[in-house]
Amino acid sequence: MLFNSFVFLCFFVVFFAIYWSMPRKALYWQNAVLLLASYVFYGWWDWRYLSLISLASLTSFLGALGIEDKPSYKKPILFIVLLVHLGMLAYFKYAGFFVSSLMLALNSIGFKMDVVYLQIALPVGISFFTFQSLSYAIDVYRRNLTASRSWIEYFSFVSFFPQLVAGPIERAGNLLPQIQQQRYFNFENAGKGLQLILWGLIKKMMVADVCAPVVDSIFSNSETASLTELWWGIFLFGVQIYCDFSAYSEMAMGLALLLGFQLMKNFNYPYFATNIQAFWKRWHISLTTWFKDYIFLPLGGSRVGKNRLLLNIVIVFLISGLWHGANFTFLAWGFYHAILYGVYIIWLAKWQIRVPTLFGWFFTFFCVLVGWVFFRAADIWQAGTYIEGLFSPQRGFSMHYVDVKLLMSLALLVFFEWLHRHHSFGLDLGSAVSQPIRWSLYLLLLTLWLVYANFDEQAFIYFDF
Amino acid sequence: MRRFLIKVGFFVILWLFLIGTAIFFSHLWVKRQKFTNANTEGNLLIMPKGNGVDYLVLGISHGRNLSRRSHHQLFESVFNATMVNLAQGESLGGIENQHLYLRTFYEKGNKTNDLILVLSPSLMFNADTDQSDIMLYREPLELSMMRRLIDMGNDRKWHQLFFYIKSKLGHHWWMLKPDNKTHFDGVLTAIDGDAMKEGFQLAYPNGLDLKTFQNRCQELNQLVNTAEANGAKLTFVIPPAAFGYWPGHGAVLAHLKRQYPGRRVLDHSEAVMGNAFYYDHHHLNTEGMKKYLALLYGGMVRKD
Repeated sequence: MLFNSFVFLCFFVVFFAIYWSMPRKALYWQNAVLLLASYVFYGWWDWRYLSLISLASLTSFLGALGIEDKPSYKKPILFIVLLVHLGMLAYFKYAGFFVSSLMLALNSIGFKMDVVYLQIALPVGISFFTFQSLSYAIDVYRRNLTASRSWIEYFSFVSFFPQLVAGPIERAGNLLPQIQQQRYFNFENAGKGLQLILWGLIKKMMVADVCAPVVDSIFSNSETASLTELWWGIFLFGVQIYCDFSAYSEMAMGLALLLGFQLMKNFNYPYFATNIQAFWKRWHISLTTWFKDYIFLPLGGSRVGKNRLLLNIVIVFLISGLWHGANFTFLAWGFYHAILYGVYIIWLAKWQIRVPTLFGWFFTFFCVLVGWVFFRAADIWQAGTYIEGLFSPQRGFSMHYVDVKLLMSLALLVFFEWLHRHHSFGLDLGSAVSQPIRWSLYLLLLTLWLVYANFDEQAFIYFDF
Repeated sequence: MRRFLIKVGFFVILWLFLIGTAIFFSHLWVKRQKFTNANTEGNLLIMPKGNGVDYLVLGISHGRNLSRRSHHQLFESVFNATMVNLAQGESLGGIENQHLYLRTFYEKGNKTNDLILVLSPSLMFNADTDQSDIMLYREPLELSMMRRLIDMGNDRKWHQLFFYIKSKLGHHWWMLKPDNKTHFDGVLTAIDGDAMKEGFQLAYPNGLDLKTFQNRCQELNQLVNTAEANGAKLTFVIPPAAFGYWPGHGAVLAHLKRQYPGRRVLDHSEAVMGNAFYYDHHHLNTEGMKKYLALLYGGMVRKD
């Protein structure tokens, strides 16, 4: 069930009515309805995977109770919880990749065998709810958090449908206490929620989904595309992935606000960053902070020697790459960013090399765009060819992929994001703008969305992760 | 909560009102143009009410080409008769689509003596032509058209309805203008094997799939029933192409002869040969049309 689908609209309207018609001081029922709706939402893709999310929830729920109640066994219990979660992730997401890679490697050193490509369907959102469950168990282990005693509350936390399949990856410390409290309808928050949803729909359906066919076309013809087309393709992919992913996060935040919850911010205008460190503080914030808290800091963080720090950065970024998908392209993408990040914080930032803001922004944006080639390419060979083409003037300067609708969508995006770059999201007009002007703008944007959005119900890119 | 619901409700009503107003004015704006059957492919813009016409043409772009530019006047002068052309180009005119227009034609109280169904063989192997969401983007909004669209058995009908309504706000509709050019002067320079292969891939997305063909035959039968129930005399025409026979030509011809005995079937696949008569591989230019209309007329008269 996609946020940008008619069926979701019907689902949410019915759920919203039931959810807020629960009697006051009936927290149990409010959570029960929330849990049921979340399972219906998730089961809509494939009801069989409900057992998977139930197992993940049950393991971390019981594990956390065990850790808290039996402190002397907390290490083995945490180990079991990690084993179950990472085992599920390894099987569904990485088994095919590792088996085929191993067989190819063995073939290359002389062991002749037929390479087997395992066909294991990837349950939608598995990386997100696994990381959410893991952080809960680890936080309880570290005594940063008290274990939940109510299975309904905990299961609702893991399966909370607005952010279940593509984040933000919520920490139990933020979301669980909200689930444990009665929610009351808040007019201002609900209004802000609707604005977030509108802006998310515009970014997804008017920008990302309009860029998508052009990007697909350029990448599928990357061997013959001209230099300008290759740059245009990677620029549009940068826009597409940002709009696609941040739109989901913003719609998730908006839906949560309508239900009385506040989710963490996942994007903070990353393309306006003026260095690579700032970019990573603004891009997919929930995952970046997750890696920082549960991998980078336990590895020693930045309070280590230069070489060890570089190694830590490489480890974190390689895992981040692998988290996105089982493919060498994601590993290459992670490694590429590790080098950029490492070079920046170990040398450039330390030596306090100052560069003009505009140059910093341009260079950061340029580096990020080049990195997206690895992310989008079908395989490492295509990525190599594409990058080579980006720097080959002999490819020529022809251009076949520009149309008015696309340019209009890009202009709309840049205008609002730049104008409100100091606000919480692109359509956050603040209180300075009078209501008639705000309403006129919303009416105009809603109409533009109706006329020019792509209504093909395209899935979000991050569902694949 | 009540305040929220009232505000949201008011906002939605205001939005719908504004959209309705915009659609109303767009309708007036577009209608003020002088559209004729020869200068637009928006059929509802020109469809008569309570009229009798001598010939009604249905089909895809090859049928539409009988009216494009000055071809419509040529047809009427060669046949010395009136003609309404409801065929749809731009890959929008499938059999269901044409049946929809035929029903509209009759429900508006019109009559025709002869129905010419330009049956390009690709039409019988391609279900996609009826699946296009933008099928009605050139048509003014009419409630009766919406009803007929919903009555269609098409899987995409709700999408098509949605796009039909929202297209009235888009710039394509506001900027709809008559195409008043009079000639197709372009000439096909040579038969290009690669371009043809590419074209066939688009025209036959499932190849010569038997299941698709059978489904299209059923849809064709429904269309034929509607036409004959309203007293139209049917003529099937397989249109000419610079390359001669389309893939699946034999199967289509055999089906027409077997299924519809007694009806006119004109196989004009090779009736006009020579690149000079085409502006692409299968669309006649104005010179080609002059030659072809004489042949078509001769064929119809002779069969009578």
